[in-house]
Amino acid sequence: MLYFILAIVLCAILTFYRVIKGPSLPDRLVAMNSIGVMFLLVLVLLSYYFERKIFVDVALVYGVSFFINVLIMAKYLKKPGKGGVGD
Amino acid sequence: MIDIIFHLLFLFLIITAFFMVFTKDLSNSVITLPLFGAILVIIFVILQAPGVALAAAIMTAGLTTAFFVITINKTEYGRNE
Amino acid sequence: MIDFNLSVRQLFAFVFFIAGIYFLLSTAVGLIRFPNLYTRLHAGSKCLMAGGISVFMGCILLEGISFVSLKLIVIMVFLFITNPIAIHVIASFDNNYNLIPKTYTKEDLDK
Repeated sequence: MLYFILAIVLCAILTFYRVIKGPSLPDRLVAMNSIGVMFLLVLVLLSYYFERKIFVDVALVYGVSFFINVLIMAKYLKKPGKGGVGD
Repeated sequence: MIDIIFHLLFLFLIITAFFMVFTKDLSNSVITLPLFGAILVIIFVILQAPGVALAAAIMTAGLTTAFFVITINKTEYGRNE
Repeated sequence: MIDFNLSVRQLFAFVFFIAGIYFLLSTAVGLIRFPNLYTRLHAGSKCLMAGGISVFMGCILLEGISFVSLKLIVIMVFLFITNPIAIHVIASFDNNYNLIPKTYTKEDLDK
């Protein structure tokens, strides 16, 4: 089980290259969303490694919180003056 | 085997923190902030502390970043063009 | 008989995990190597959801029928609904910058 967790963490570190060297802002947002979902999978697999089922609740709360975070970033983090998402 | 993952996560935490401090644009720093919180949540889970992990998942990865983004939108940052 | 059943279930769960890690690795390579924003959106939506659903199916298969399995199904359905919404919102966020894909030129759009 630990080899799978190590592989997913290495994938997340590879994806962080796009956050450092993204030409524009949506590239960084897509890479951030991908790293967040990978860390959700790491949390679920850690719950199976330690065999404590309370950690699934941590994964659920983290997933809801991260989705709301991405939505708020895509809504408000824009250059104003050219018409927004909701307009 | 769990030690390798633990030290790798600490290395990733340090890389994220240095990128957040030394970048030029303020939006890149705000985008990297929930990743910092996510790595912190995983470290708390490995250290067998689910209560602290729940609190960090709500506050650091959720509410703090949303408040920062809304505050940056309210100010005049990046509206000079 | 029960032990045989458990070992077969573990075998199938590991097959699901290896498939999921292959999809996640293809997501990372695609986000690094693709040249354009829209291809990166494609890699960030489809391959990521394939990997996530594969890992969740392996976990459900390893658990069996219990209350934790229902929680995992709830997380999986939530992820399956909300990740395309997030990608769609990011893609419509892109319209503010007036980016044009590389395959079209401006003269083609004027015609």
